[in-house]
Amino acid sequence: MRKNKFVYFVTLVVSMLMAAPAIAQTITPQLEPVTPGSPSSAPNAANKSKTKKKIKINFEDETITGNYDVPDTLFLNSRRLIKYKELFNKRTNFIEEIESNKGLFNEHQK
Amino acid sequence: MKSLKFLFCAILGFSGNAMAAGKKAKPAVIKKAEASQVDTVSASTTLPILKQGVKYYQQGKFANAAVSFHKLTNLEGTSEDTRAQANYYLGLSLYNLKLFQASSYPMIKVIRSNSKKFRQKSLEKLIAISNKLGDQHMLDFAMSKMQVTDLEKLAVDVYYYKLASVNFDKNQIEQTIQYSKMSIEKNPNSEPALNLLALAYLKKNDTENAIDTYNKLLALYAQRSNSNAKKGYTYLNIARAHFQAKKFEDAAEYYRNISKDNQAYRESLTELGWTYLHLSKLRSALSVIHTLHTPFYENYFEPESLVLRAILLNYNCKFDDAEVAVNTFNENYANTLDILSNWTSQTITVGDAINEINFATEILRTESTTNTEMNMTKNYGGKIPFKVTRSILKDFRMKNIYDTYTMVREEAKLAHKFFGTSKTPLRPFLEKIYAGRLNFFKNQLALKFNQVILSLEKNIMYYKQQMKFVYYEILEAKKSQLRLKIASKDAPVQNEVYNRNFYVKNGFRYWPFQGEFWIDEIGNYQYLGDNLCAQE
Repeated sequence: MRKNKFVYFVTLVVSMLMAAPAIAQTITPQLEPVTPGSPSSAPNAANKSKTKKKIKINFEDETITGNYDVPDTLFLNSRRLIKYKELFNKRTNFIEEIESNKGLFNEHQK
Repeated sequence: MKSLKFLFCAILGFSGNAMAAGKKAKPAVIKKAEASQVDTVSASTTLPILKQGVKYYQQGKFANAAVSFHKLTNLEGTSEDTRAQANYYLGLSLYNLKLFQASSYPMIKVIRSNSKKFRQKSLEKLIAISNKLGDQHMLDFAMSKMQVTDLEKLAVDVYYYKLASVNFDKNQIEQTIQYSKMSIEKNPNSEPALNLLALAYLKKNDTENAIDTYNKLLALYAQRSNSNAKKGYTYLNIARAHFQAKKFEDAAEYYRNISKDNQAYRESLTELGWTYLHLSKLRSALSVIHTLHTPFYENYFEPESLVLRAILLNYNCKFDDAEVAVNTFNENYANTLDILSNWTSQTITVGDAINEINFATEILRTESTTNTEMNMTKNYGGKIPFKVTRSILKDFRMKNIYDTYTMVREEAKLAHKFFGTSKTPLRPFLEKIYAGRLNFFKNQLALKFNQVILSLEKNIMYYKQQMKFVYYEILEAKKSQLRLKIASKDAPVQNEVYNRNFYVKNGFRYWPFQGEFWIDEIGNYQYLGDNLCAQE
């Protein structure tokens, strides 16, 4: 049991030491500018291939609860294109007015 | 006996038809055959009276003749035929004195008698009298007593017209057209029949025939002056018929033909405004409405023109001006509506209505003579606003009765002048007639006055509702214009409304409207504002 713990510890320390130069390079690239073809770029590529590791996340026992919302109203952007009929009435005839002056033509003497 | 025969035949020479045509009575023609009409029982009593009556009549002393004939009608023992004859001649005498209303009474007595010969003559005379007075009730009575076979050519057209008119009142349009055509067939120049026929066609929406008929009517007035009311209203009616047929260009042309000094001119302005609106000539429409909204037409009942003005200004996106029109309407007509509603809700006596008519008539009379109407309306004593009463008096449903009432009132004064000091039974006879008829016409006036007020109340209520709709449209248009302005910075600025530079145009033909008026500018105002609507 103790032996296992020691192995885990050593593995962790070694992996951290190996990852340290790569982290420093991404955070402060301006401190150590890397030009293509320079000798410093070759060890970086070798490190990448070494640190490539698949991490699997298992959600098998996790239950996710929640709601998802959808809009219950519909927005019509074309509303202003619809022309409604005006509420007031435009005159279409003057029959009532003609009827009211009917009496004028009954005045035989004028 | 022979003398009596001579006397009656002499009087018979004064033909009723000649009187109806307004001609002077011709000298008596002797017809021996009519002698038998005088009864022998009372011949000795009636002879001297008749002699005297005829003598006066031939000398043109109609007042004296009327006294003699009236005495004869009251004599006891006179046969029915003799009494009918005496009544007929009494009517003729009074007719010659221009006491038309009084002359109708003896004529009606003859019509109700069994005298066949004088009955027909009296009927024709009564139609002539009713035409003189414009008294539809009298005409109705005469028509109810006749058959077509009773009539000579002179009155057949009137008879058919009356039938057409009755059918029109019952909204039986086909029958109206049929009887109007029959009336026109008998008398192609019958103005009321032509007008009624055209109106019936319009009700049937047969605008082509209506326009044709109105043109025939207009041809009758070709020789009359442009200020003639009938000519003006015929132009107006033709324009209305074109409007109904949606021939707006033609309608505008006829509206413009109405002379400015014609009674129909003011009415034509609002309608011409509607016509221009249908033609999308908004500036022309507003130019026309300017004239109506000068102080010259301040005291006229014009709710429709304010509604139209608000609509037109709204279409031009002059929202501030449109809202002013809405507010003006509310200030003027909301109060008027309250007054009219109050009037119709309470019990109104004949005296109340007559007082209102008298107040307005007094101002109109002064206006026509001294042109000081504006000052007088400030101290107006009527309960109903002057502009409303004025409109009621101009309404032809009311005007006809009022004109007849005025004529009968003048006749009553004339009768008093002729017989006021007379001690004969004719004086109380005439006084009773005129008192009764004046009372009758006063009642009719009050009745019609209240009917027209009710229709005006409905009219204002309708336009009040319309104005609310227009105000809604103004708010809607304001909102959409604001949206467009925000979207586009190039839209015109509303402030331009207050910075219009008015100027006289077209060789001083048009004047910009600035609220004031000169009489020669009426009808020549030009709307110079721009359309401020932002385009989408």
